[in-house]
Amino acid sequence: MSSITEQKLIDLVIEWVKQNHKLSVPSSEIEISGDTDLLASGLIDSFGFVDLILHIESIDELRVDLTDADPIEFTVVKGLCRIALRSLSPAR
Amino acid sequence: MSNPIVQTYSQLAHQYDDDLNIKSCWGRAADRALALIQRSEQYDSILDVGCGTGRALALLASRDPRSRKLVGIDPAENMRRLAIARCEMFKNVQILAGSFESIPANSACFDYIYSIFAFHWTTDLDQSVQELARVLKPHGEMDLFFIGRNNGREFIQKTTPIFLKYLRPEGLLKTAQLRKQLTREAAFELFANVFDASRLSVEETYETYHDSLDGHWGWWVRIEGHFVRLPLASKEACDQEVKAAIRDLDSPRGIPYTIHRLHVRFRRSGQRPAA
Repeated sequence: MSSITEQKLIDLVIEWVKQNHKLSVPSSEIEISGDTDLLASGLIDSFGFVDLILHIESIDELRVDLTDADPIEFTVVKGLCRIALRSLSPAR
Repeated sequence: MSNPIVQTYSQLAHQYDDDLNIKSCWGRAADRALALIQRSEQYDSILDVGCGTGRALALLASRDPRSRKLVGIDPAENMRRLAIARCEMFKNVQILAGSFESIPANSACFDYIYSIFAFHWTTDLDQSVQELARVLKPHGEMDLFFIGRNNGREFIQKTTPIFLKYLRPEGLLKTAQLRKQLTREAAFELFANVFDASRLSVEETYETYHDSLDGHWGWWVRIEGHFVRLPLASKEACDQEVKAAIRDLDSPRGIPYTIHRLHVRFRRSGQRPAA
């Protein structure tokens, strides 16, 4: 069972986005936090989300189940991480 | 569910050659690609993969010797019907059911393979490249044109939040996965895994086309397959929001749309074009 924390996952997602974003500015100049909306900020597009989710699913035993995902939660770093971490919840 | 892209192309085949689509940015980009198709006298057999309604084949057949065998394949039944009707007068043209993933031909039987804006619809990249390599003769040549990773960036930025709202996250990602939009580097790697890399090159171009909203909407038929899961009422509302978002992009030159085109070229030994 994965023991990854929400903060650790947020950090990993931010790191991935900095390396794979679509803005034409250097990664060092990009400010991303857990509250960043990845879509509204233009950092990644729908193809980027496909790649990002593949990346998240390559971490430990995480699985991103989007069946009932809230669109607003989905595009925010913290929200996406919570969706992924719910896959580890004993209730599911 | 069968492939929604193929299904929709078949359903809307009768609209595909409408003036609005033919004169749209995609129609113009397809004509530019067609102008780059090789017509060497050394080719006895040519394959068009994703031939659609047979426009390119008919043009080549009208210019080329009747002794040359031209084969077009397409997975969408009604597109094939139109292609058969269009090419009926050319006895050297054959239209068959087939796709990149499954080409109905013996191994090593084509001197030249081309495809215009179809490869990004493949459902299996590796299988498709294997199939192309299988049916191409050892000294055969190939030109594939397809869209790249950054295609339509203006529209994508504006419309993705709307599609997210209507398709929900799961639907949005499934939709994105229907197209295989590669970077130039990824495309080269994909083909170099199977084809001789010394004969291969991948060129990319970015071309921005400006048009009216109606002009751009004329090519929407090409992507309707993405929205088959939407109920009709939602689809109409979604279309209205998308139109409003696209209209927002209007400028004195019109509404911009940038086509990121990849061109995979495979040439005989010693004829590798500059990458």
